Amino acid sequence: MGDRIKLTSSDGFTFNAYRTTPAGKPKGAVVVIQEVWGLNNFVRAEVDRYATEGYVAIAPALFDRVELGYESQDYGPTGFAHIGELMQNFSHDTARLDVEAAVKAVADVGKVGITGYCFGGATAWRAAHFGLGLAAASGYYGGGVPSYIGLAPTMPLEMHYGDNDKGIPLEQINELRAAHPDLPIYVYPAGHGFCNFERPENYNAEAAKLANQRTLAFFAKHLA
Amino acid sequence: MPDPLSLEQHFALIEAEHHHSLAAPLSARRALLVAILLDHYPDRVFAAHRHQPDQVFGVEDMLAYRAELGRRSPAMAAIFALGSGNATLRIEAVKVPIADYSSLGVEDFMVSLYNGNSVQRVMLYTPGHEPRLAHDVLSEAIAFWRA
Repeated sequence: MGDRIKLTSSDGFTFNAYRTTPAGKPKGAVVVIQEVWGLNNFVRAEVDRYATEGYVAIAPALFDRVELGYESQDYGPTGFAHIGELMQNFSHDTARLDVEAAVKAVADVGKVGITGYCFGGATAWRAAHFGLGLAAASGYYGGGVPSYIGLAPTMPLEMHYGDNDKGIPLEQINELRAAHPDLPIYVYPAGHGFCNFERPENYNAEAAKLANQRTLAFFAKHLA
Repeated sequence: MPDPLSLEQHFALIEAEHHHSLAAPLSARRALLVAILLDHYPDRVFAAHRHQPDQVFGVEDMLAYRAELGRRSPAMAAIFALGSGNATLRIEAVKVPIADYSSLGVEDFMVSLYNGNSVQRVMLYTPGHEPRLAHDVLSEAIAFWRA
């Protein structure tokens, strides 16, 4: 449905992205940030889904700086050590430049929101702090709460977590709520990655449906 | 008022809650529940066997029994410290050596990649000792009682 394209960041780095355009006049634009598996089937399907909801949607390949073209359909432990070693070179600072390039690439259609899953959820929170030309952010189960809890959002932000996430302590989600009492921080009876339909052991259709409805309503309100 | 659980039922509860705790490895509350159940278990063992010296190391009172247990099991000593407020559970980020990556669960793997190759863990801090993974301590204490 969409196209694989190239983007160039402000520091000259060229990387991959996936973009889909809706039929008819767009309601706005959404930047979709990947899990740690790159622009795989799940992320491209999410981009396509936002297009069917009326948004221009784009997913930048944020691990291209670590390994150009990296994406994986393998959720098993086969490549964990290799990827773990590569990711020692990952930088949130340069990732931010790439998010900014993705925002600029779709900003001509109107207001731009950001969403994302796992890594993408944490990235959405960071983007909501730094601005980057965005108007709203809706993040899903971003790990490493202590690394972003102190980054106050500068735009409307909502977050979605599972209460049985083996990568994110429930206590830390509670700390997020305490530190940011005005933010909608939703907790679902689900585990990590509950939106990823390609991982049936973690996918929770009911939670995913409700969370997606909330995100669409949130974007409809803030990207109009 | 009689105890609602027999000793066997109490230990079965410990094992069941330990199982649940391992399934929610980042919950300090669940780990604390197991620790408190373990902390209380010796009191009930002593109460049940106080007239059978061979069952309670030949000591005469509950405090001496707990002290002896602590000498015999460092894990139980740590749990006693936690129960008395002299140790704490904390959730913190722990660095994962690359060599250990292949043994990570997928959630830990995912989160570690963008958090400086670290994962969250429930740690037990006991004065005078190196911090330890709380679930290791709980498992050791349960193994002590099973032995």
